[in-house]
Amino acid sequence: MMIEPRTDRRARRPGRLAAAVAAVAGVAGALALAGDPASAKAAPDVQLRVAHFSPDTPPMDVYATGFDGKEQLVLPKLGYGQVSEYMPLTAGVYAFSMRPAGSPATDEAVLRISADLAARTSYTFAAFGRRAELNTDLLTDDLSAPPAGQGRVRLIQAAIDAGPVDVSASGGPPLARGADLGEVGSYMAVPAGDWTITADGESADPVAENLTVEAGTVSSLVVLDGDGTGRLQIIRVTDAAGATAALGAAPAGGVDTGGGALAGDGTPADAAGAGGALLATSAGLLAVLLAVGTTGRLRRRRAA
Amino acid sequence: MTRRGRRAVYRRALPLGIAFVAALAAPAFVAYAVDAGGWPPGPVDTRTAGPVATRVAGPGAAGVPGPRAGSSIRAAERPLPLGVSAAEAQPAPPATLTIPSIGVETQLEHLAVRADGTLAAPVDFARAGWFADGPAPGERGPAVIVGHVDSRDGPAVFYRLAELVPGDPIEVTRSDGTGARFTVTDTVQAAKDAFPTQAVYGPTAGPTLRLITCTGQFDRAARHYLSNLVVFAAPA
Repeated sequence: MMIEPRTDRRARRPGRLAAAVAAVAGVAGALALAGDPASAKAAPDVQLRVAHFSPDTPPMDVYATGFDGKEQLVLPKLGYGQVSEYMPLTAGVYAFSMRPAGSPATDEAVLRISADLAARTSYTFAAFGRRAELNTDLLTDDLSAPPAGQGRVRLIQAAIDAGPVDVSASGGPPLARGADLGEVGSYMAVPAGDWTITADGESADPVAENLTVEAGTVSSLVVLDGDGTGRLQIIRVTDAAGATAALGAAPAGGVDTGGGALAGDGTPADAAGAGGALLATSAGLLAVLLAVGTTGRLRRRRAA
Repeated sequence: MTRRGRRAVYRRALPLGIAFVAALAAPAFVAYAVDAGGWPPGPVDTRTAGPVATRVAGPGAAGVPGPRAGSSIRAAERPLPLGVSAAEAQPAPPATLTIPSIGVETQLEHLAVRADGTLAAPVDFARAGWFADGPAPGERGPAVIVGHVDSRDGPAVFYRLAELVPGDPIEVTRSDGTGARFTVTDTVQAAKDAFPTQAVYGPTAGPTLRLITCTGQFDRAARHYLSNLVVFAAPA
């Protein structure tokens, strides 16, 4: 689902530049480019997901409002312990609102949040705590690749009644020490393989979970209140996965995918390169536009 | 103006927009209205809070049981059939690739990594191949499909790959008859000795697709092109 940001200033920028280029070129035909608002939309370069970690809050419908002011339902029925998938967005300011699942969109929102989302960033918008004292946080998710043969893991402490929580991986690094509700650790690289994760709260029974970390994956471990038995619960959410889980590392370098029949003779596989051809084409088009504009001026001069 | 020309102009303009947005530094995030009165009256039954530890499964998923304490955490993973980047748990391997805008319709070989650590190219110049040790198209992560740009005699399956522009559709059908749809988001050219390994094989939040072929100068002694062209695609 695609929603435009609340402010269209940035989205319009390319259009303005394009308009400037067209003006310089002096080509009326290029005005169609600047005058086409659809083509001025920026590509999605932000991703955001929503996490529900409030045990006594009912499932919620999540709405988002972009610059067009239209509120859209983006995530229906997000319940406790659930983390949505990421939704692609364009950088900008958004308003998010939540209503109990199934409520009419005309109902007053229970929670409203505004966020200025920066380009090329992944976010988790998380709600922690009891509904009477609900806290929200916008987490930045670093989905970059772990070193070869490793995965990256971080801890989110979302258990309410446990008190400060220690979390550790057997034979591995401590993931959290005395973490309070809402604390989020940095991602840590851990070797791929099977781990036993232990969570121990000051006022909760410890719990151990088996966790398989695959190479190239980025995961969040979330400590939640259990099912009322006083035991904590650990869940794992895969934030991102690479192509290296099976082999541990990515294939080396590029791929040899050509016999060379069409090399060096002006084909798309020529020295300029196919990708370069895109830039070359753009440069060429500009050159043509400029040439046409110049020609027009020359003709006018001659006519004068 | 052609689609490509238009796109190229925007490509030049985009970095300015990105720089502008980046200048905003850390994102402001403000909760400004918690209306306790908006809650449904009466006690909330936490048993209706839905499955714990599952990914959002959309309406009707409340009956999906959450994992018991002590159970495998992996059991907590469930796909999300929503209009966002829903990843499938274990899709069947891809069988065919179709790219209508450049007339590609090919069966897919299964490709492996060679002894020297590089990814093998398809045996058949007329067919593309899927990196079978990586994610399948539709599975979380980057699925990688490779095809030759030319043979020793003429054009090969990915000869027109460079013509793809953002928004072009790509379809994959799988061995079980299901399909996955993607749209082109970007195209990158890079020298093979500076191959963008992390961008191609690194983690992605959703199921993504990369198409790779050759481009650039041809080393006639080694009989290899010196650069690769990579097309990046996201779920349609």
